[in-house]
Amino acid sequence: MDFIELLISLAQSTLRFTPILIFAAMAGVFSERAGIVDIGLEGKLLIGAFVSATVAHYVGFGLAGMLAAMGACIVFGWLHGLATITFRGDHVISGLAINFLAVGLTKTVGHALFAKGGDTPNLGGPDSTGWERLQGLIPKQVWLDVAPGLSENPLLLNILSIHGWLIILAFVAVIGTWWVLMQTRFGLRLRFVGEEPQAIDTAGASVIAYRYAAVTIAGALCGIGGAYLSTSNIASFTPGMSADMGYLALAAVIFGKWRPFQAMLGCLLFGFLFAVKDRLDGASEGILTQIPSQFFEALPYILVVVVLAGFVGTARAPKAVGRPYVKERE
Amino acid sequence: MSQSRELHPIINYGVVPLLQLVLAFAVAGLLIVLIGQNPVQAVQLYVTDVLLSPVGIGQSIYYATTLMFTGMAVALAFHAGLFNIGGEGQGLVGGIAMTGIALLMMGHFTGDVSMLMPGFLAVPILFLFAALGGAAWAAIPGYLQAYRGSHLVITTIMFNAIAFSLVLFLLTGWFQNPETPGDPKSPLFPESWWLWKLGDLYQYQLIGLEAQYQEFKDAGLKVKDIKAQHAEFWDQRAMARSMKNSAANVSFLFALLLAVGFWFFVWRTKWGYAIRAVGFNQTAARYGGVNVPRTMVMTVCISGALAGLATTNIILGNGSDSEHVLRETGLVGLGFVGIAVALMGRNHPFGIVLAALLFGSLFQWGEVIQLKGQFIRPKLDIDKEIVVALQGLVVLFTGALYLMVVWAVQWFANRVLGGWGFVKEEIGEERA
Repeated sequence: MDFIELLISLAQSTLRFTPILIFAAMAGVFSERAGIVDIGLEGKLLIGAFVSATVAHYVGFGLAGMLAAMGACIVFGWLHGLATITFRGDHVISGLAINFLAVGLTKTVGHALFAKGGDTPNLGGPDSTGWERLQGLIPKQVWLDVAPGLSENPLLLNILSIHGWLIILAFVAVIGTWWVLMQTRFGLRLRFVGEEPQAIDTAGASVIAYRYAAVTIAGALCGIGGAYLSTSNIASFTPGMSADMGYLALAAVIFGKWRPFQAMLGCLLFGFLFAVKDRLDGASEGILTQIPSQFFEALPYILVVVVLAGFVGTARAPKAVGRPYVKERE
Repeated sequence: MSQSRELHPIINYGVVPLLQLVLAFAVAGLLIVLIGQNPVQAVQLYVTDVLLSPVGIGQSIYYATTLMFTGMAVALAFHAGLFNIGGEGQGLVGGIAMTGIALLMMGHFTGDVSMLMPGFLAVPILFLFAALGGAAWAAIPGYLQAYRGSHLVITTIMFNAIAFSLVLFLLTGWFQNPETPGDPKSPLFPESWWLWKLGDLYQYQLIGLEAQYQEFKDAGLKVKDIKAQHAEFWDQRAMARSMKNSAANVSFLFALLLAVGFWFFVWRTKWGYAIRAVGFNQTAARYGGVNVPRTMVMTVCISGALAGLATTNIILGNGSDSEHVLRETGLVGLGFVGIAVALMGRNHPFGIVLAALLFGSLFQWGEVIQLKGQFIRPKLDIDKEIVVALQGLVVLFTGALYLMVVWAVQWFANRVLGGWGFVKEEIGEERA
């Protein structure tokens, strides 16, 4: 196989996997910067994926699915907030509860609605236009109308139209996260809520409100990530399809030292490893087939452990992360 | 809000957990209503086919056995302030280690069967290797947490995923059963190594009962006559017959012993003291002469060993004759349920045993719904994963929303009951 062609196809599938990780990682950045540990990213991705595929199936319009997914994930974000902010519960336990709920609820409700073992109907089917329309937020034809020259470059056209706009949105989300966190007063205060909540309290702003804002934003981002997973990357929901992506995204956040752009690089790295694994599953010759495919399957996870072991420099978490904010004596 | 008051132990250990369970079950019931099924029917099935059926009880005990191991694994780490959610992976690697030594003894690699030992020698070795495998798999995340500050939660989740890849690699290669090339599983363990079923205790009784049954038959009685005239006998025979078929086995007794050992270890030895000191206040523990990182690694390793042991119940104690094999499903999710068991049981072995029995019966309930729901009228069509949702709710209400229930109870005791002696006076700042 041509080397250039291999590179392009690897880049293409890296781009396919990365947005899921990026949306979840940006959600993680917002949460953790405000002092909330969010193991529940995984569960929220799964819920987002299920809700968007289901709503898109009924409404027949992909964007509706995505909005519904954002709503559902925000609700679960608030549940996390209720447990961790209001009732000062353990962040990890609350996140785990959300992950269990996500697995149980999607399968139970999916079975009740569609009786297909938890799967949702394929959106690409002839009776549904949702799949086309979601993809077609900027469909092929529009691209061709705007830039007829694209027809000579089918590869670029494919990249742009198949997973087009949500991929772009993922990178926009990174810039947006950076801008909100680093360039606005809201972001400054949000970061302080994660570092020195007393300071924010003294300044007269509500720590509680800022933390709820953070879980809300995180929920919305997870919703988009989930929608990408089930209605843009693949045309239906299957149980457990989030496949530890939420945890990997959280690892990318730590890898990126809680900064949006560095976290994005982590996501691209993990996305690339998934792409390599995917590529090898289809490969039939070459030196790489000598290595068992399970090794490549495990590679992103091994890498996370290596990264977390601190071999990429010291990482410092926000100071107040995982700690409830309790005002002085009431 | 009256935060500076501690609840009376009866309320703290009795009323609060009960309320949390009731809340979790109420929400699950609501879910069943929302998906258009009848929760009363689901409860009926739980009573008739789990609580009152010998097979149901036996299977519940079987699942509870696994859960006691995984619950204690999570609880021990909790005592040191650590969160080991790698039970699934540690169970898998425990299974790998156990299967590895078993296959060596069975001559799977060499064809040499001279090392094939009788059960009473082999089973302890298998248990030992299961524990060692689990401990080894937990050691790396434990070390990284203690000495490099890597978050144990994330590293153990990663190790779960890595263990899954590892077991698939082995089951499609070195450990593969040569007779079933398409099916990733290990060869069958020899029957002499299987754990004794608790139902075997009924075997001798059953011989007598069957003889009696034959006598009735010879006397010319029809089945329905026996049922009508000798109801007690009939029930006894049904009980003995079905108990024989459930998977509950002697490792339940072993797990109970281990629970006592757990209590002794945590509350009566210097190691247990060190573990609790680390969990309570690391700085104080260090000042008191405890080697904090080493205690952490030790705790996580023992925790992993307990999770590894859980796999013995699944492989050696399996209820199905053809399933005494290693599979990639490992602890079939019971490693995760251990978290709910530990939370529900408040990290105390007595509570863990009770919580394990509850969750074991719920697990069996899920199986019953799946298998039998189709055949009852009106049809009860619920996916068995509802148990996972229920488990999430229990973790939510007993773990994350713990203070919500406590505050509600405090408010009720103080305002409504007017401090009816249920609330102890001022003990100082509440531990939030």
